[in-house]
Amino acid sequence: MFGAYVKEKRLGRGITLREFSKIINYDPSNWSKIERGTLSPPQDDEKLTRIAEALNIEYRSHEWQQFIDEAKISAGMIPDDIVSDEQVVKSLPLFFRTVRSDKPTEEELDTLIKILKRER
Amino acid sequence: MEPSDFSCRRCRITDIWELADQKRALLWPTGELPIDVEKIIECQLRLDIDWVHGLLQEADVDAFLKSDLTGFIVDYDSYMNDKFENRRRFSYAHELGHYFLHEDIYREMKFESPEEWKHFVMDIPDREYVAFEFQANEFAGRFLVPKPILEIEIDKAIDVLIGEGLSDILIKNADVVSPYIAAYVHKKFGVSKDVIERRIEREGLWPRK
Repeated sequence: MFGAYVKEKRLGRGITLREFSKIINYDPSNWSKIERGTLSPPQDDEKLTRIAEALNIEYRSHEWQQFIDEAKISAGMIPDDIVSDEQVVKSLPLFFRTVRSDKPTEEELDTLIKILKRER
Repeated sequence: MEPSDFSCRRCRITDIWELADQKRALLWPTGELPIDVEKIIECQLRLDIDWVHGLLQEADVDAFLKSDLTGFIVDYDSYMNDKFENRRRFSYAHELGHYFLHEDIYREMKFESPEEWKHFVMDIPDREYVAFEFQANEFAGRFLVPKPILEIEIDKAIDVLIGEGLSDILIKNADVVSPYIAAYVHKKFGVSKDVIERRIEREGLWPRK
């Protein structure tokens, strides 16, 4: 998968998601979705070339061609938008870092579930 | 497990500090300050950081460790804003505290649905919740503020105070010195003044014994 592949390359180079998003001029929230395979990778050559450069993939090399192919293939393999309860449960916390250092209210917990269903 | 059985294993504070020192030495061997916890999480521990919108504004939460222990979810808006860099750093270190100290609890907890999870969280006894948070905070503070370096920085701050002709304060108003020291040294560690004041107090670094 394109997402797993680029993530491994990025981490291999010791670049955080925040740093990488800055380098390629991409929204980090969207980029993390691309790496997780829940959002389609970019398809235009200019953006893909910029990403490949940031990952130190040599232009027109065998690896570069593989990278482009993975991006094209992954574009047609994005799962549907419905997030299962099982996926949401895996993401839910036991402890919360809140501004007021307290457990969230029941209403806030409901909102948190909604956000995770919406954003995952 | 019932929420009423959900209890925090009590341990000595010095054990938490020792664990923080060990993990820092292992994960951040250069010792460079401030510590880039985001880099440790992603590049060393290979945990995910997922940025989501609306977490803080809508649910009053700015970060948390996912229950499957594969990574952290953080609020996009505050975590993108450099103004929150110190809080972000402490939040990450705090969540790392949960990751290292409370991993067994996470592994034990299994929920079938978000509703089941919600009711469980609502029913966790407050005193236990506070104990878990206290332990994670102690881990985070010690992880980000290595004691030997803090001691050196305190000495430097005191020298400045003496150089400014304020030696009297050291003798007569020792309790007002901590905020001064915190203001002088907090930037080096990339944490808030409150975190430094708490380290000074918790570790008994001022007033000198």
